[in-house]
Amino acid sequence: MAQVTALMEEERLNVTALHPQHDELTPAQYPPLSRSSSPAIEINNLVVSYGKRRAIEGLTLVVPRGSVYGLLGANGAGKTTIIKTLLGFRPPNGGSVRVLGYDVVRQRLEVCARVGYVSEENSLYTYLTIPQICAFCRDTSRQWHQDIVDRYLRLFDLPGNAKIGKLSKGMRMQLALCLALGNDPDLLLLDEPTAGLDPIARHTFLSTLVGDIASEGKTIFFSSHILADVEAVADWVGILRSGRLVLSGELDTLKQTHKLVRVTYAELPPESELDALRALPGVVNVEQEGRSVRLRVRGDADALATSVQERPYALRDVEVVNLNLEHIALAYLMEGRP
Amino acid sequence: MIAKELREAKWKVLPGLLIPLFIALNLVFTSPADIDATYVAHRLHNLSAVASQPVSAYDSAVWIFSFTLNTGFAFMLLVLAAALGAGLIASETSRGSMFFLLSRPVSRDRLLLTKYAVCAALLLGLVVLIGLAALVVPAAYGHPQHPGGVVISIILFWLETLFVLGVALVCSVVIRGTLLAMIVALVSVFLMSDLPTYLYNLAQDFGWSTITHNSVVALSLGTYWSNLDAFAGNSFPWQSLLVSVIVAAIPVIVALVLFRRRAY
Repeated sequence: MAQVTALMEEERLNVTALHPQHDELTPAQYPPLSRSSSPAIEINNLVVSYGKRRAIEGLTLVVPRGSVYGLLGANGAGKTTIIKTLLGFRPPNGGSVRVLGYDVVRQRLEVCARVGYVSEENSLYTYLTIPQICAFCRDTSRQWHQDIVDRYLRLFDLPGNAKIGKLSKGMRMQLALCLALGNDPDLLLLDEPTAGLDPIARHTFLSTLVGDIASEGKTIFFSSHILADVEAVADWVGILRSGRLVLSGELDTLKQTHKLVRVTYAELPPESELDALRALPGVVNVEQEGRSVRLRVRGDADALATSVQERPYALRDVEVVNLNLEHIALAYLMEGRP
Repeated sequence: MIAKELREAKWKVLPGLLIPLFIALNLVFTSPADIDATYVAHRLHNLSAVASQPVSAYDSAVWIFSFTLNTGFAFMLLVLAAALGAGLIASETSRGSMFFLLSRPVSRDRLLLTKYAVCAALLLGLVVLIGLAALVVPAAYGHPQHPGGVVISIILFWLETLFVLGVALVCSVVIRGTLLAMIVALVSVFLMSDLPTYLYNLAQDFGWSTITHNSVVALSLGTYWSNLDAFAGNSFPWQSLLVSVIVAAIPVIVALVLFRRRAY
């Protein structure tokens, strides 16, 4: 188990290595970046506490501009806390957070002026009508593009003068997205945007995210515990477990580097053999079902399959299988659970 | 932003309009014959001295003051101020709209002060209506009040409502529930405004008092907000105005500091 944890930690470090300018320097030594060339989100060693309880523990994360980043995690993993910190609702207890090149503590208003936010709680003012909440957003924005809002209101077929309290949950979420786009943001922060939506509303929401908003080059950072949603729209994925980022990277790269090696023995393998398999480099997780053993592998699965075939046990079959995001994520999310 | 705050406050303020209305009706439906020397003298605890004397301007001021700014209706305005202030932040927090609000590129100071200013303006409107009732109705009955005195008294009363509003605002920042914030605010206002006098009276009853009445009166904020001499136009209450302005400003400053630091 300790080895698996160590491998995950190594994985986290490898992800950071995707951005070499940060890998070799401490945050204080980072070369100055112009705001337009800086990452959309840059979190270094973030610590966030609620009283004595640490919700986020030493999180480091870089989200490139123009990407669609899906943050996966179980309930209570810290996804919402990260988004609240990105918007300056909750100051970090340690580390630094920059959004679009702006420090979220000292330059919160600059961040908010360039970010669109849709909340999990879908908490718009129910006593206002759609035109009234648009007016409120216009009054509290530095720039407001009613034409953009109107375009998306039409796209979602939202009733023009309806009171927000009369809208369904899906419609409110769509309205929240319309409003979030009104200031033409460079970055969209979506906190569990599809939670509680019916399949049609989810599909419309996600297809709009991918088809319209992401294609305009905006960065989208969204949290979810729905694996299918993340796989459908994200090109970057992070997995959060108990306040720690255990995996992060481009989805395609993760799929290439995470495979399943299915080993079928001629006889039931002894526990010592399973221990030996766990000790092989790149093995994240080992599961046994009778004579069949499944190894979740990070790295060169073919090389691992070859080394398994050289083991001194009678094998019936060794097969390398591609994994989808669900399989990869579950391996990390379930880690440490009985 | 102001329009949104007005929409939010209107369901609390519309019933509040009944307060000046009831005060005015209370004055209208009281017979002018009630304003006689005996009645006023009874209020002044000076029956024998003034029983046969005509009503003086001061006497009618006492009478009007007791029916406008010194009534249960006026107290209801303080409760309304507490309800308004308690809901300003606590309601946003409890229904989750605080996150939407804070995501706007507007400073927390501006958010808080806009909310406070809208409520202060609404309270001013209600207090002015009470002042109009205190001026117009007695004048119609042939007992015109001192306009300057009424204006000063109305300002003092407004500052009192602002103090309640400010204390409720502090509670609203600290406490999540609107009702609890309102209750804590009203109890706090009572403790700060009238408790010294109650404790003094209690101590007198038990024979423990070693302090003078004047020093106790100086500690009670209610002394500064309710000034009969000023209402009658007999004095200009500089000290009351100064104290009332300062004590109205303090809770707002405290609320600003707390709201700036509050993590959500």
